[in-house]
Amino acid sequence: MNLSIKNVSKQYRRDFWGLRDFSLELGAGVLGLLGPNGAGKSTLMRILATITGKTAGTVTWNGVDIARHPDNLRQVLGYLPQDFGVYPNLNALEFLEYMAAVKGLDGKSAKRRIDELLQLVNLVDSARRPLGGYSGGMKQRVGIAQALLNDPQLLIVDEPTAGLDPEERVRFRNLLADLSGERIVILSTHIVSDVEATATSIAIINKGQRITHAAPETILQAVEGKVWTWVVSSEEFAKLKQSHLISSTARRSDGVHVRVVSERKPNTDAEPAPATLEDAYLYFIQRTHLSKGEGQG
Amino acid sequence: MNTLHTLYHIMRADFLERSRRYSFLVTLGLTILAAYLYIPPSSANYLTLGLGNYRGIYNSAWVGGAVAVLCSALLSLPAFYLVKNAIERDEQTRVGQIIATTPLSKSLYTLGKAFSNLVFLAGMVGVIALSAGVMQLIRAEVLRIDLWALLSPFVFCVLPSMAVIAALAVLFETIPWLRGTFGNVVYFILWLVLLIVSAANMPSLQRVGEPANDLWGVQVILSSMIKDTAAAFLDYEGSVAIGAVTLPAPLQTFTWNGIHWTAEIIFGRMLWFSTALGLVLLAALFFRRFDPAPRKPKPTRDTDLTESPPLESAQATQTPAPIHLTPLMSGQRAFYPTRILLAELRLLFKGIRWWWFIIFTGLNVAGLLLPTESARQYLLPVAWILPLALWSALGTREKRHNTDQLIFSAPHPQSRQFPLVWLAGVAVALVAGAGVAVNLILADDWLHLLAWGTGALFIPTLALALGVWSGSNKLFEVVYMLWWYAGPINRVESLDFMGTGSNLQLGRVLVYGLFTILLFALAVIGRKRQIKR
Repeated sequence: MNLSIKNVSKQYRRDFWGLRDFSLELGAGVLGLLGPNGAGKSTLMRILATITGKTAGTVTWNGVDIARHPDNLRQVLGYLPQDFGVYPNLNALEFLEYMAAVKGLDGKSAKRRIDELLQLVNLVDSARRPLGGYSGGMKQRVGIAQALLNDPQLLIVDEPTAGLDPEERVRFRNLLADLSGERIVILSTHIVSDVEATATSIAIINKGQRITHAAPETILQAVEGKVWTWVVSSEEFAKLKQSHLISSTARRSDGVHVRVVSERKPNTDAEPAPATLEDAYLYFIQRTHLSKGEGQG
Repeated sequence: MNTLHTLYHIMRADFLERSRRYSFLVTLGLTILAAYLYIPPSSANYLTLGLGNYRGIYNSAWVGGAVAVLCSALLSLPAFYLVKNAIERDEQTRVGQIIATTPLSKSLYTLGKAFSNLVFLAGMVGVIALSAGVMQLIRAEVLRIDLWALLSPFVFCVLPSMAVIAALAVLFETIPWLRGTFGNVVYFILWLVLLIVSAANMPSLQRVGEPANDLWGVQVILSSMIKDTAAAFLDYEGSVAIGAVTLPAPLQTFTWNGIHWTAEIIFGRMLWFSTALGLVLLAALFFRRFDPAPRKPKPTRDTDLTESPPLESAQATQTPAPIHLTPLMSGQRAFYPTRILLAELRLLFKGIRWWWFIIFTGLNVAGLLLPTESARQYLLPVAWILPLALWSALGTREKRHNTDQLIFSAPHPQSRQFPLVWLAGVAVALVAGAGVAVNLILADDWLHLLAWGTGALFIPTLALALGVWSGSNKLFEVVYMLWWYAGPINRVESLDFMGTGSNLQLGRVLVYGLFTILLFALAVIGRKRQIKR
């Protein structure tokens, strides 16, 4: 099982690239794709899901070019777009039956699979209510169920936890972890904690380009010894914001507890702290800003 | 001042959004083309606005008046469908929910939407008026442009009718049952009735002095033209012909200096603006500020009460046992056309009320029992207009409900799902007209049966092609209603795609068969374009 992305670019306008020279090699496991808004995550997702054509480069699934033979991948693809709709007059059961037919599942397998998925996404009680009356989170769960209908070998989920309540979010993270053994899961998000809980590898993307791709441990090692905490006054904090990359703050009675990512010790009072993925993410994104400037579209 | 500022910004945002759409350019292009054809050269053996064999010399007054008549007659139909999406767009983009939380009043919102509809339509009318001026220079009978004479028919005749259309569009959008296909049909009927009434009350020599103030403003222009033609040519009998009319005798021209705009005429025309205002205020009464919840709770079945706890709260308290998904074998993923077809049919019919099926059963029984001639001529057109909303969903549903990414990432969306969408549309036509078909078989009327079969293929194919390319259900609805009215209802033989008339020829049936194949090819290309964006 292999998904190979080689030098893929997508140009939207003459002066705007959604993705530029992007490469990745993926095997079974969960890839957490992290990046700020507008980084090119959804463009990459849509190219991989055979929805959008690329301008340059190649994407192969088990050695087969997905641009030339998209149906080869579509047979084993589960896709949850960031922004999708449902047919409001159908209920969840009918919608999943429709999607199962479109995905080519036989009646018996479809029925069993839909029953299991409705339980999995906790929609059994409302399965016979029209989707038009569903809340955003419930629609998102229907989307998750349809993505898993055909037992996909490649599961692409774009901001899957958007709109989910904390309990459902945890359930979905656990589900992704369970699923990852025998398939490739690509989880695109800007919520670092979602990736932290599930990803076996992480790719950070910004301004259409790959910043890094490595195991979470390797990414964390890159910022090890570069995270510092100490307490500052409110006045000092205002100045600190201008000069340092602050990954978190907490106001307490003794002042503002700051967490800073910095190559050098930023203050005599600063103490080193263990790095988190959020620190690493901010570190890599900040580094691209410094090396390339803000000029790119 | 603040109100004007709000109105201006509602209008501006809508205008920019609409004028950057492809459909705006297409409609504008088609209307300019129509304006070009509407001012034929002197050498042409036809007139488009003829008073017997007389017409005015192509000065600013005549060109302006003639193109304004065309504009009213031609633009008044698509204009409504072009602007009937102002509120819908706010709803779909969810901007509406933000607007609903602002202090903007309902009447100011509907007024703003009607105003932006009017500005958009006025922009189109303005371009057409300018193209009329260009046509005057191209035909070069009179080279001096008189701006007042050229533009006044547009300002006093066309704009008031556009204001009413702009307001009607807002009213239709605020009334739930007029929002969709049914509303589109209602406007088509309204437009047709107003046109027929206008034609029936066409000015004549005998009624020249009578006040004329139809919605479209056509009577004001024509009665002035008739009066001046009668003064110029004593043998003129008062006839008026609109459309491509062959000249009955050699063309004679005269100088028409335009309408003498009296205060009474202008006041009469301005009254249409107050009608528009009334419609907008009526719309404000129906407008619900994007509240998605039904006004009255739907009756709950007893079973729902016992089986279904409140949606979110119930689920939040449950801690379900871990679920394990049964893996699918590779052989369990294949092509099951019957399953897809049934799923497509279910999707088509979902949301249709029970009485609709009773009407269809009744129509089929009547189609079977009526004399063959009556079933074919009167019943078949009825049976094949009722599923308009079902057919107009073909090819547009994925975009409309934002399911395109889900459907197009499934295996073989082009070669497997798409033909079955089409087949579901054909199945609707076959079922709706089944009674008439059996009647034709029993009567051994094989030629009409062939035409029936071609019609059953033609309608969903037209729907699919127009839907896929336009992305909206409106284009098919308007084109089909016009076609249906002209062909099967008014028996314009070349447009009778159902073969309802008695003088049916095999050649015509084959032409429609060929046309259906071409439309299908067009639909396939369109869908390919949609999938490979």
